[in-house]
Amino acid sequence: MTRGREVMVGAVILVGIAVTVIGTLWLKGSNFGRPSVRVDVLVEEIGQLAEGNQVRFRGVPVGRVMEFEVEPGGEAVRILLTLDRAPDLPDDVGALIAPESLFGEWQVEFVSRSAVPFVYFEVPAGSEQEDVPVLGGFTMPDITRLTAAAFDISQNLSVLTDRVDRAFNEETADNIRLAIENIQDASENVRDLIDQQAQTFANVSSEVERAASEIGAAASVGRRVLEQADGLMASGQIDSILGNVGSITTNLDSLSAHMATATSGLDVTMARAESAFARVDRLSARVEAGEGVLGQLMTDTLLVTRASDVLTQLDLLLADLRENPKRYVRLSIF
Amino acid sequence: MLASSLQAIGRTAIRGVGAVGQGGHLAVGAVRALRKVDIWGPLFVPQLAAVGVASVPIALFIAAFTGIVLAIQASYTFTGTVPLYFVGALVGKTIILELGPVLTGLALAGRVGANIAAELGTMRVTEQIDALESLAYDPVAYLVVPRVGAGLVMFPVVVGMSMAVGIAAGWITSLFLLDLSTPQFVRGLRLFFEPYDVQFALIKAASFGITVTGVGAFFGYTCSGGAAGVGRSTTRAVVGASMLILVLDAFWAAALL
Repeated sequence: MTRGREVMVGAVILVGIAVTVIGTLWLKGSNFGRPSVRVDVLVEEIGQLAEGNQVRFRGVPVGRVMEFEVEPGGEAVRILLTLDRAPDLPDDVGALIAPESLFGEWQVEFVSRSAVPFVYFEVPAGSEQEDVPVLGGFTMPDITRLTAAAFDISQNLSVLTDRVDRAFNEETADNIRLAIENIQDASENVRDLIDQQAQTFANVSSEVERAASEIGAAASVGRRVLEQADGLMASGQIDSILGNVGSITTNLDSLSAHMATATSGLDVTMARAESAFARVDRLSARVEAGEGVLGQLMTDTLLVTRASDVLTQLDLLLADLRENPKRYVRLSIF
Repeated sequence: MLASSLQAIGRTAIRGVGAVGQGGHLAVGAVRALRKVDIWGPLFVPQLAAVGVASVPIALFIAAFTGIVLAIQASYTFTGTVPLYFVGALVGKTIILELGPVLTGLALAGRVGANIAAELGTMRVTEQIDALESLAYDPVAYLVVPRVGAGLVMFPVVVGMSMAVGIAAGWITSLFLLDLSTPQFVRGLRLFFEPYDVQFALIKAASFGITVTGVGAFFGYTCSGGAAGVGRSTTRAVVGASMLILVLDAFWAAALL
């Protein structure tokens, strides 16, 4: 037996053992001594979760399920998680245990309880072990339970369908048809009523809106007036206005006195005017009677015609005089 | 006619019982011979080399092509419905639980079992074993114990390496021949992995090692009839070891899973 053969045997054995051990640890998800963080989760049950399943946060793998054990008293199951690193978990973090896919893989996912509301296990005080943080978890029902629930629902539906089938005959159908027609009529009436009420309501609304706008405008005016009054009061202008009003009142008194004096003189003026109007009336009467030249002019059309002819001839004469002055004026110095 | 038939049945039964008795006698002798370390100790390392190291290439060759075929067939099977990353799960689970130990055991049954049966059978028909007895050497301690011990130790080692190579071959096949990435393959590989699977495989491998070497040693040690007898013993050793491997495979599956 040569030494080389012995070395070869030893090397093969060591390589075989190393490959087996390291491969097993790698497949198990060991981090080979790298620092890790342990987090515990308490849940009522673990479903199909198994050791080595992934732990995810926002879909990113952050660790693995190491082991789980039923708590003393049997009220919960403690799941030990090993995280490759400690992610920044939300304050209200919970552990949701659910299938990763439809093929039997399960996972633990850190979620925000407010974002994913389920009945998470309430961790009782003093549940921490070795200062390891403990989260409350919720386990989704697996497909078998969902199937069982679906089976129950289908059974109930079957019973319900059977009852409906027995209760639903020709008479029931006629009654239902009549009921549907009645409901249709009632619906139309209700719709008409609603349309009317809607129109009325629209009118009232527009009126109310307009009134409201007017009230608003009045309120703004009033507010502006009040602001101005307030400004006036504040600036002391109101005293000045009151003084001016007093002065105006005094002036009005003086004016009234003058008006009284003028009124007394007005009587004489009125008498004179009345006399003048009387004379004018008499003159008018004479003119209308055709007395005097003015009366004849107004009553005798012939006279007017002749006067007009005379004026015409005078115009012609003047025109001719302008054109032929030598005919009428002769100047001779010598 | 009836008498001859009954005679044949009786002869076969007597031979069977006799073989079981011989086997039991040899097994008890081997256990007793464990105390004689001074006899089998110096021969143990050479047998480790002959049984284990020399078997590594054929075991890895078989494992590599098993991994390749498994990956391709898995992808062919999973097309459409099942996610392709299940190729990793199928390759890993199948190689670790079944094909790694069984195919390696069958291959080594042909190589190691036949070798031991032929070697001991030749020694038997040439009366070398008788010579050992005449020299007050315990032939069981000298011939059987180191071989069976080497099978017990080296079969798990070789099977462990075969599993690693088979999975690696499946991974490389998935990477280059299938539309599968390394993270997907590893995800599937880790999906249903349990460390107990490896323990199960190593337990089976150890039992196969004892079976292959023990059956080879038995048929060689009890060989008779010259060169033809050696040939028969070799054939019987291979066939018997292969059958026992499959029986043990079913037994361990029923007992441990």
